[in-house]
Amino acid sequence: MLVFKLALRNILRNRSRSLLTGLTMLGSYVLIVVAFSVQEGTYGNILSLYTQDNSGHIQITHKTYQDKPSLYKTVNQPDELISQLESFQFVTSVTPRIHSAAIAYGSQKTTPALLVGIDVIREQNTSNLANKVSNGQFMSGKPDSDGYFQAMIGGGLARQLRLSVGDELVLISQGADGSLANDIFMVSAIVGDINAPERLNVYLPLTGIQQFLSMPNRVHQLIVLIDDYRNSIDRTEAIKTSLSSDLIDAGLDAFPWQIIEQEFYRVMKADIEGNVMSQYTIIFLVCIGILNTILMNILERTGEFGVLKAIGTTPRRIFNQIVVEAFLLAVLSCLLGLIIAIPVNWYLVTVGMQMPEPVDISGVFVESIIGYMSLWVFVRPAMIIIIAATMVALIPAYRAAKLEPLDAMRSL
Amino acid sequence: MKWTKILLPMLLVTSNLVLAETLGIATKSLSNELTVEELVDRIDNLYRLDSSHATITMEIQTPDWQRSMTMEMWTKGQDYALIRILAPRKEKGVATLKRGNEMWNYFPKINKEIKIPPSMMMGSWMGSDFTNDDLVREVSLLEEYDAELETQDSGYKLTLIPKEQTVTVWGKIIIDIEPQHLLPTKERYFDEDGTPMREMRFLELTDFDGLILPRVMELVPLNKDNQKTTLVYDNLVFNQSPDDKLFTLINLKRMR
Amino acid sequence: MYLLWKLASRNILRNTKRSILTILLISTSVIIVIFSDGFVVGMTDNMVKSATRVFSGDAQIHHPEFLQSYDPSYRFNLSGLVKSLQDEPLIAAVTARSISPAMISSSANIKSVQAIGINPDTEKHLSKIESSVIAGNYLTGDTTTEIMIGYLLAEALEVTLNDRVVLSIPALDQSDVSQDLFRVSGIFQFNTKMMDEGMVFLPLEHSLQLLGDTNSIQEVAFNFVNPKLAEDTSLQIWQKYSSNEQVAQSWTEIFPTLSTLLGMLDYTMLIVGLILYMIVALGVINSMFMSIYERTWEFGVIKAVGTTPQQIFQLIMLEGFILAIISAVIGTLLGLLVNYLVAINGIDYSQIEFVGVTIVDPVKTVIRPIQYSQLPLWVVLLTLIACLYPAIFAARLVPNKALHKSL
Repeated sequence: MLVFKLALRNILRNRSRSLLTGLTMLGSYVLIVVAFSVQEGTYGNILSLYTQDNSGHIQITHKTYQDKPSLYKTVNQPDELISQLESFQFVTSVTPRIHSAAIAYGSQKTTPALLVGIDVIREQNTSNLANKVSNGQFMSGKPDSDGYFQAMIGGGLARQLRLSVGDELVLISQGADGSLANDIFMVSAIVGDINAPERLNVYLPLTGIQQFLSMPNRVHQLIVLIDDYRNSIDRTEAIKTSLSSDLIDAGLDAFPWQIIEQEFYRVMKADIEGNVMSQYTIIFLVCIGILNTILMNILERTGEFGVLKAIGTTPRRIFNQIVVEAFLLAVLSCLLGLIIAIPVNWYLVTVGMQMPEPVDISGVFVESIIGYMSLWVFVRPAMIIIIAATMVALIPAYRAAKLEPLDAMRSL
Repeated sequence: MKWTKILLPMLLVTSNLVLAETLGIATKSLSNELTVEELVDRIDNLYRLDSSHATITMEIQTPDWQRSMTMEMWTKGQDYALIRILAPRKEKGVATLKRGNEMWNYFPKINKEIKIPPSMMMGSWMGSDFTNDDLVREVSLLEEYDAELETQDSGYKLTLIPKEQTVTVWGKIIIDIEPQHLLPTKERYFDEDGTPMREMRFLELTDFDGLILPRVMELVPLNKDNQKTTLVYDNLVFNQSPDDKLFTLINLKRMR
Repeated sequence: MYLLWKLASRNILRNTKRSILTILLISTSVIIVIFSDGFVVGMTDNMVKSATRVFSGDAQIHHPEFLQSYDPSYRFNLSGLVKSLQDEPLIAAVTARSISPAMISSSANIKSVQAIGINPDTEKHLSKIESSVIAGNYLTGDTTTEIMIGYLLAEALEVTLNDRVVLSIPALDQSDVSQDLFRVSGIFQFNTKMMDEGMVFLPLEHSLQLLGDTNSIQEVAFNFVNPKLAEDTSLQIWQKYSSNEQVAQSWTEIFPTLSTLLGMLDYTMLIVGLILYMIVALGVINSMFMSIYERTWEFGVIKAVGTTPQQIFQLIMLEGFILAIISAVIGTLLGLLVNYLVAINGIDYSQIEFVGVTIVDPVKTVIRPIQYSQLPLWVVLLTLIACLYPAIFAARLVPNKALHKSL
């Protein structure tokens, strides 16, 4: 098209001017990419770690378990459901869990403890629990030669009851059948320290806790991790549709982390909305930055436009010409900007920026700010720059289109 | 759910013996000279224990599970009690020892006796509707409640209203007493709005070792569905004068 | 020198449109920076206040072992501590509390709770319990049966005002469980689940009596005159009120999660802020270059006539400087105005609970000195830095090449 050819030629015509404007656009583009990447990445990191360790991305539980958890609301015979879940392409791992409470007893003191029953192998493939072991070894799922199962206890509990690795832990609770649950477990590891969120937890192997609480082949939750936690809501729907009869018959339901961790999710959304404001700010600043040069650009060529109009170019064409030039310049700048933006982002994603102090999120230490790699991270800023440039050019283009050829040619 | 000691059947059983003795003959009916205060006082004194030895079956029904437990119980006076579980097999040998207002539980499977700390005293005893505290605490109806006596077709009706300072959640307790043996047949617990919240029924009067006593006791919370605790006395003898040594920690552990 | 000033200002006035645009760019960035600062400070202050001033206090004193297990036997002696703290100039409010696990029972149900004994008078200057009462009354200290419970607890116990409840607290010497009759005198709502279903408040003397020790307590909480002081680890107060039996800690140590999250927010904001600055700098360079470019021929002429490169350098720098100063002044004034206007109503976040904290009051922007002293100066400095390259470029222009350029 003639317009584009002319636009390109005009851009190349005055190198320095185009370069100046283009560099501003390029620089802004790279910077916005970095800003987006960091914002996305920080949250993404936190969320990823937190959901992995706690709620999982999706959970299958009894349908009222989320609001009012109870020992008796269970998922029965979970094995089949687990294999069905694993057959989904987007599911990366599934692990069952049991939650209960008990009195823990050690030498002279008793203290309440939170019991978490885990599948020893599956759990290690799903959450970061193994990394949180501060002392001893991750427990095995099988009872020892004396018939005792192992347990892993939180740092707070260890301190209160003065227990260390190799000691006996006595637990007393009420079984799911109402019976008195009492048993001894061998402490194989201590998890975290006295300040960790897990400090009052006791982790037991699934078979061990099922025996203890008289709930054979029953669990409370199936924790599901998927390939991209951002898609949890859609994937939950997919699971619900596929397995609807199995779930409904058993009185179960599937929940994405956005519902399980509702409060956190709402705060995150509010924060992101706050970020939108800073994005508008960036757009504004970019606009002003470019305005100068584009304006200059057009003003300088007043004479040119006068001549063009004199020989018959319609105002519409002049308008289009100018706008397309701005548009094209922006596009070119962004394309060139990609050359810098991609490696920079890659660095942010793989290495990240080290923070002055590591931050403890849900028991895992986050040391650096990580970027986020996705198509969106590159496309969105480009859209911003291109739209900004085009919008900035509109008014001067309009003014140029309305020029009186005679007045315009005076500036030649 | 806390309910005052008045309902503790184990103690109720032995104390009826005392009531009978005080009144002279077990089958004598209430004479008109017996005042309200004296009747309440007698019900209070139902807890002046001698000693007893019983086998009891407790059935607990909740919306989520149902259980039956058989236990053997010794009591001596007000202060000592030992309860040992005989069945089901999983809990066989688990025992509770009460000495004064202290309590211990013993678990044979893990060979540990655990003193129940005060913080757990409000917890349920052995998973039942009774709390540990119920077994330990003493309440004097005469001192803490105002009583009114009425006659009705089935016997007598005692209405007890707690005094202003009395530490209780109940607004009113109504006890139905059958005239022949002067034994409570039904006890109802009301909140302050007059809504009945709990009911205790005493059924199947049986001859135990010469004494007529209810064999079955049912405890029903009225504000919950599908919940009931039933106690059945399979066997009951009195005045065996058990040795004090029975009620010690050492013995607790030895009784595997 | 004077000549250079004159030239610089005249040059600026010469191309008004461009100068205005540049001033607009720089001053806008000043406004934005001032607003963001005001907003973020307001937001974090608010969050901290919501966390600490609803109930817990800027700082607390406990027995060193208490926070581990909340075991009430870890207690310390009051002996004039409250008075001594009240006399401290930096401290605005002090209150003593007893904290112990308890069971509360009604005719319908029994629940385990945390029983907190408070002094109604000192407490109301520190926490928001009084304003959270939704039914009945705040504690008066006049009756022996008064107790306040959360609305969720009231629902679970199926009780309303004036109903009987029995509170059972294990005595500290482990001998017994103390029980007492209470009548629900007030129901509160904090919109925090843990408090609304797990806490009860009763008069301090009564709870100490039940615990069996009227001389020691589990917690003393205090607020500073300025909540920010709590983050100052260098204050004498921390050491003055710590010993073997007790330790004084700020909320940053007691609620580390909140503290670290805020730290992380700070850092991310810093990075985004830097990026904003850089975008502005680009615009400024852009603008300066434009102006130099336009005057290439001019520079060629004055250089040919004998103006030294240094003088040209100074000229450009001066132009930038003047622009910067004007922008800084305008930007600062407008920025402070924006902060002031937003601070009147604030922005409402009350629907959201964050790490157990609900931001109850609207977030108001804060005006602080750094905004009108340091921040504008930084902008001026950065503008000058942005001008360096264009200025050097202009200084290095070769006269005959420059003269070739005609506009």
